[in-house]
Amino acid sequence: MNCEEFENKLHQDQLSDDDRKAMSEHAARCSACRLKQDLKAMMPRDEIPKKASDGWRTAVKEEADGQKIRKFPVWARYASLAACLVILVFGAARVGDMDLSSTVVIRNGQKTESVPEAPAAAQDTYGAALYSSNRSVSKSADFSNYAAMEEPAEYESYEEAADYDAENGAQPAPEPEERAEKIVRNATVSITTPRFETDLQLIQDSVRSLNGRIAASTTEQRSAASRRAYLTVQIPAENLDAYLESIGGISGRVTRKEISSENITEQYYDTRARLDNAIVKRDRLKELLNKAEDVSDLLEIENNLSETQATIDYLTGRIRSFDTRVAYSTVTITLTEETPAQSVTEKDNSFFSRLRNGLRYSFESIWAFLQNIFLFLLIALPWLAIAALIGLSVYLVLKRRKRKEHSK
Amino acid sequence: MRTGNRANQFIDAAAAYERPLYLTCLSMLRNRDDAEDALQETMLKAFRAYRDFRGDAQLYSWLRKIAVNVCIDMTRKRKNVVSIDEMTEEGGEVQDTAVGPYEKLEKAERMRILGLAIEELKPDARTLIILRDVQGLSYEEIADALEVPIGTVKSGLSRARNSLQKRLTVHAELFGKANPDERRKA
Repeated sequence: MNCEEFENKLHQDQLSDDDRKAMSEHAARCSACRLKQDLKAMMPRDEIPKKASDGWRTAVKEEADGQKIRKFPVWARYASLAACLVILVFGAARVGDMDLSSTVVIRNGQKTESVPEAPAAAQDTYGAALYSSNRSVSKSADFSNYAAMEEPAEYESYEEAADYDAENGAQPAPEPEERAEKIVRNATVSITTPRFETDLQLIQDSVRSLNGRIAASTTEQRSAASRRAYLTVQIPAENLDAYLESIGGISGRVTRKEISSENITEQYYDTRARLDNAIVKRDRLKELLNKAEDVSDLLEIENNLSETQATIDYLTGRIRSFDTRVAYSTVTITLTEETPAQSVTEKDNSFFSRLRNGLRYSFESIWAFLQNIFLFLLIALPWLAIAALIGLSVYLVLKRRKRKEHSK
Repeated sequence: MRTGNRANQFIDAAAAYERPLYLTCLSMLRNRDDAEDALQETMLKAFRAYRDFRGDAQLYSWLRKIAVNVCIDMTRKRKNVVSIDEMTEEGGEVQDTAVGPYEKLEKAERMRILGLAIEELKPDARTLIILRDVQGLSYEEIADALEVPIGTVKSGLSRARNSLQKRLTVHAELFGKANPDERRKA
């Protein structure tokens, strides 16, 4: 018997007596085969412990039960993953499109922040701010507006006075000796500037030096790099040209300049004549009042007198407003800060510049995208909470139903 | 209900082989707890893949192949091998023709030293020795289980045996001297 035969016989179950004899003879001579014999003897012959036998059965059953609940078809797993990704990407894109920035209005050095719930709201805030500063800084800035807002009662009485005049055949106004021309001159200027603060200061300083006054001033943050100031300025009419010249001297570019003149001579002297008539009428009524003896006459005259007095007050106000408008020109200035990008006039179109800009753009978009994803996740949290609640209840219902099925 | 049937079907089919599989694991891992774990892992893996199991391979050789690989993985993971004393004490009951108490004692000592020597072998060599010489698997079966060509099994086994014998030369009084002539014959 050689070693190969020995090895083959060694692992056979059934052996004849002759084989056994031959093998033990070979083993006595061959240490390698004795070793094989010893190695074979190392094969354990235990019975399987009950614990091990039960253990794997339980594990398989648990696995089967677990699979029933957990097992989704593979396509469903991929589909849900894809859906999550799509939602994430679209959500991030949507967040990117949403204007979530706050508009910061700087008024009199105080910042007011408005949340852009609706785009119109920010506009209104601005308008209200302008209006309130109009009122607080200079009441005469826009007198017609002011009168309409503040004195509606007198306006009514003016209407009545007009009716009265018509009924009683108002007397023609006395012709004044000289009729000076009444001209209202206003201006609108738009300026774009890289040095926003300096120029704003210059504009304000020259108002003061020319005996003008600032009726309203609003500064608005349009974007991170751009602010805009709206100024309403009253300048003595004779200084208007000087003022416009001084504005032209600042570093910014004047993008729009509009000077309007309105001839109000006609209106002015009309009002003046009516005022004179009313005064004459009042004086006459006063005389009548002194002479009156009957109580009913007395009452009627008194009524007339108070109406006439109201008309006089109203017309006096109008004349004063005309005077202010003629004496002071209103200049509306819009000062816009130029963003650095607007300042670049020459384009660097070299390879490296384009590469650098392109790369920067890529990184910025990636960064913005990541921010958007993060924002979206945060913004979507309330929705996710609702979805989780629904999902959880569906899961629990399904699980219970499966359990019932299982126990049947 | 369908899945439950599937589990029962698998358990019925695999139950017949639980002992041989357990012994395969025990011989490779030489630790009862590990063997139990390996058996469970083997059955779970087999159950998960059972749907894909095509009857073209015999169930037992398929299960044994899984078990062998599970054991190889476990051996790799537990770098620090558990003391093999356990096996020499409780396991590897010496199949014995020796009658006298002295022979018995000597054989037990041989088993102990052999266990130590096997444990010292490189993992691949140890696996080959255990699969071929302890478990008595054929070369084809080993090649199939390890997914290597038969030639590789044969050459690897020959190297593994030489390495084992070299380790045992210090215990020549127990294992006898390996004389060069004999080895050449083998």
